[in-house]
Amino acid sequence: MHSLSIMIVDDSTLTMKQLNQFLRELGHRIVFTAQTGKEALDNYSIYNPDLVTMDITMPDMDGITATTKILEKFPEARIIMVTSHRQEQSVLEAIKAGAKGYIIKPFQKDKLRETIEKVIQKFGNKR
Amino acid sequence: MTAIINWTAIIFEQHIMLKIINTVFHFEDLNAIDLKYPTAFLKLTVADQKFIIAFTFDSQLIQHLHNALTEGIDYSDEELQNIFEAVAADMLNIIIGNATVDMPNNYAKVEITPPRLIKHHQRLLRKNQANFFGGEVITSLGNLSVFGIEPVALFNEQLDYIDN
Repeated sequence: MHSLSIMIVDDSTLTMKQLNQFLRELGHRIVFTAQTGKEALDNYSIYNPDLVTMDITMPDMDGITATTKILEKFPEARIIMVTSHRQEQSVLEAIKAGAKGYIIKPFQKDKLRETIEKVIQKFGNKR
Repeated sequence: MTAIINWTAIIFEQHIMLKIINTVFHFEDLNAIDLKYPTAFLKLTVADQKFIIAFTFDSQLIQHLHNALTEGIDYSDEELQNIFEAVAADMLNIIIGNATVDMPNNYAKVEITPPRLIKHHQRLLRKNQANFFGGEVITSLGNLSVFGIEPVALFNEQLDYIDN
């Protein structure tokens, strides 16, 4: 798979660093990092990433709301939830909001690679 | 509380490779709780019930968790304290998030807030209508104390009584 431009949205310093490192090691480029859903929404059009990794529990605007709002404006957006929420209702809400994949923390690099590959295979790259 | 303690044991054993020696539950009212550095807490809503859940870590345990979770991750000396405290917040978030799958909720969404940190030792005495309960996860490298605190409305964002 070729290199993707990726926006990471997570309020955890540690998860942000893990995702940043894993995604770079997988050959992708991090074009923007946001700590709230609102920050992601405000910056999506500027960076126009191939893929977004989105946490659910964040201050200001949660990841489900941010996903819904980004997809309202940019229906071609590819968003993967990266969250600790294992409850079925949260997974269903994320899918209903338009998320293309769901990774539960704690995660390994292989799981991240596998999920990204599935999303790109199924939905194609935006470009 | 059972779901939270059980998921703590699962995450510690399967992802951190940490040996669990025992788990202990304190379902009865506790008169006081001791919050050590670092303590992370969040608000949890299950159906119409709201709690504060606090995790307080023995120093040896949090050091081990820090080493395990940051292995291979690059960070500067200036970032060390932030990362160390983020480990406490992340462990809480990860365990509670995973435990939501086993919480009785009558099909309502279980909601959790982003974690907050207490960066000093704090003793919380039970008063007014406060209720404290909890448990311990005893590992080969120190203990994690898990506390449930209610009602949420009695406490501010630093876990002090609002009437203080």
